[in-house]
Amino acid sequence: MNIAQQRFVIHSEVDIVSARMAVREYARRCGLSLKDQACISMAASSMATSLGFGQTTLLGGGEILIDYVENNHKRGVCVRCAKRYTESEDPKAIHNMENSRWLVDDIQVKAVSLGRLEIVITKWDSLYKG
Amino acid sequence: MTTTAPKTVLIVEDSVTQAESLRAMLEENGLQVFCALDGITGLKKAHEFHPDLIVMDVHMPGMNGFEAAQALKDDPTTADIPIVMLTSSDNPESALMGLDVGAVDYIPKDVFAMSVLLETVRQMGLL
Repeated sequence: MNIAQQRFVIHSEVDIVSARMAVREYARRCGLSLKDQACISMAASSMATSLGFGQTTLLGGGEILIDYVENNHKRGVCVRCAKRYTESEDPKAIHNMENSRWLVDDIQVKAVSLGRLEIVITKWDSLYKG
Repeated sequence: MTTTAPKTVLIVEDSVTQAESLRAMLEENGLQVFCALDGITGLKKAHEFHPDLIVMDVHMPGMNGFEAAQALKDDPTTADIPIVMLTSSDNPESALMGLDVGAVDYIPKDVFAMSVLLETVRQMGLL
C-alpha cells in the first residue's frame, strides 16, 4: 500500500482536533476497521494533549507524523508525537501513557536527541489476515 | 428547484444544559436535532425518527449509554445508525467498551469535545 506520510505541526488545541481527524482519516485509508480508527485517533489526541502540544508556552507545541506500517503479515498505522523538553523533565514521565496504552498495540518512548522526545504509538489492523 | 432535507441527529443526554449546548451547536451547522433525556426515551426516538447520527451520553440514570447503544445495535431497524459516545469519563476501558458495542467514536467531554464532535459529524458527511 502506498500512502504518503503526513506531518502536522501542532500549536493549539484546534490543531490537535485537526490532527485527530487526520489520523482517523489516514487509518481509514489504510483499511483499518472503525474500531481501530477510533482507537488510534483517540490515542494520538490523548498523547498530544498530555504532551502539552496545545499549550501556547515556549515549550508547548509539537509535531505529529502519521505513517503506514507493515511488519510480518501485519499492517497498521504508526503515529509519532515529537516535542522539546527541558532538562528538569524526565522524558518517560512526561506523559502518563496509561490511557494510550489501552488503545494501541505498541508504545515506545525515545529521547531522539538532547531535548527532543518522541513517542511512537502503533495500532495494527485487527482484522487483517496478511 | 429541489430542497434537501436536513440531516438529523438524536442527542441522548440526561443533562439538559449539555443537551441544549449540543443542540445549539449542531443546529447552527444546519442539522435538525432531537433530544432525549434518558436511554429509554432515546430508544423510542431512534425508532421514531431514524436519525442520521446518535450522540449518546454514557452515564445516565436507568439505562446507561452502553446499554442503549447495545439495544440499538441489536435491533435490525436501528443497527445501521452510527453512534458517537460523548462522556465525562476518559477511561480507556470505557472507551473500548463503547467501541465494542458498536459506537463509531468515543469523545471525552473535555475542552475540545464540541470541536471533535463537529469534525466527526463533518467527516461522516453530515455537513
